[in-house]
Amino acid sequence: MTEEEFDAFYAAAFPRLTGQLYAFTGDHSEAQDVVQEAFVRAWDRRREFLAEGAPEAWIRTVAMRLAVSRWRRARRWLELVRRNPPPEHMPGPGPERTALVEALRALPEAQRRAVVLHHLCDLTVEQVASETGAPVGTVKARLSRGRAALARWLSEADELAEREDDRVR
Amino acid sequence: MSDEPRPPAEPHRELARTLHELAENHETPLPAPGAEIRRRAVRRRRRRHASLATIGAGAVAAVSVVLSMAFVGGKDGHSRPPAQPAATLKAPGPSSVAGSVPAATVNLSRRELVVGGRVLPISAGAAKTPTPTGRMTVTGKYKVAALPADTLGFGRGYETKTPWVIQLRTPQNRTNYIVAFTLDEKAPGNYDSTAGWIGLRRGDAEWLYRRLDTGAVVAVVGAAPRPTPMPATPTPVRTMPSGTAS
Repeated sequence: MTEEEFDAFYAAAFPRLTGQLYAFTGDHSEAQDVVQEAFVRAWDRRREFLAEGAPEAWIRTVAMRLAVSRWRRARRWLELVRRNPPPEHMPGPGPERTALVEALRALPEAQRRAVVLHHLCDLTVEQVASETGAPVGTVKARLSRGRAALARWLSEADELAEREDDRVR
Repeated sequence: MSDEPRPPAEPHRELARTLHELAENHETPLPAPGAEIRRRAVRRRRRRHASLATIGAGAVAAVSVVLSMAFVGGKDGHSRPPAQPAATLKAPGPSSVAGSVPAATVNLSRRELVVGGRVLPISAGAAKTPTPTGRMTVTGKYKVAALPADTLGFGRGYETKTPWVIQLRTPQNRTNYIVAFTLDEKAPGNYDSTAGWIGLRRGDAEWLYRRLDTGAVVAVVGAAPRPTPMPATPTPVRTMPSGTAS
């Protein structure tokens, strides 16, 4: 990959990947940070990066792993400071709080990753399985649990919104 | 093989559409040109050797931070005031302690502390955190001590200044305290609500503080009355005896 090719790939893929990572992390700057870091690593390890034959997927995987390990670090830190375990999922406060983002954040990390990869990044169940290192059956279970939780959450949010509307009127 | 249909079924397609919309609305423009990304990668490669050393040092620093935090915020609520080593005791060793006459006797079942013919009402450990029994030795006295409030059932992360603290060493070499239970003056004599400590009314605590010296023996006997009424002898609520300062 020449420098020009890398730059073109970066320019094309960066916005799309930050959008996907936003869905995964629910945080703008977090998404931008991890995607950028993944691109730096890609150029640093060009050989490994190109050997995979799926540069965008490589970047996404690295970025997701970075996001996950950041959460874990932050969580461990909080545990230490507070001396009591924080909620299961680290909700980093973000400016945008759409119902869907909230719902995604409430999902366990594995379910959220499966949902984002399958429904947003258009990976097949098998591809999700190989990317996350989980058996196909597990991925299917995560997907259906994740979808059920999202549906529940989103319908509740709708009801809430309707009720708010009634109050206003 | 897959029962995930592709294209996905109707409700799933809706989810996919919403997700795509969300992602598209949150695409971020390039924060830095590609050349900058490459430059960073190259710089990183050059520095890798040096940074490995830095990471090592950083890890050591982080570990030490963790350790010191763990010590400062020790889960054992009795870490402050500092437990005195047994060697500083004025009193003779445990063997002769066992033989000496206790200066004070705490009766958990009657919720009272008897010393020199005087009876002071106490509040002892709640059901979850019973007060240890046996012969205690006074190992320290503090006019005011900052004690972690969570052990007083007051919520985590706070400290409360407590006056007239008498530090005891239990037969199991644990630390316990007799304190002025200023958080709840109504508790002594009426109910047990501490985290194992022996709580006195403020005036009683001050009086006892002046009377008991390090090395004195305090016998703790009996078992706390059950909060649930016992069939045979329901414990009467004890009121403060006359002549007790409050």
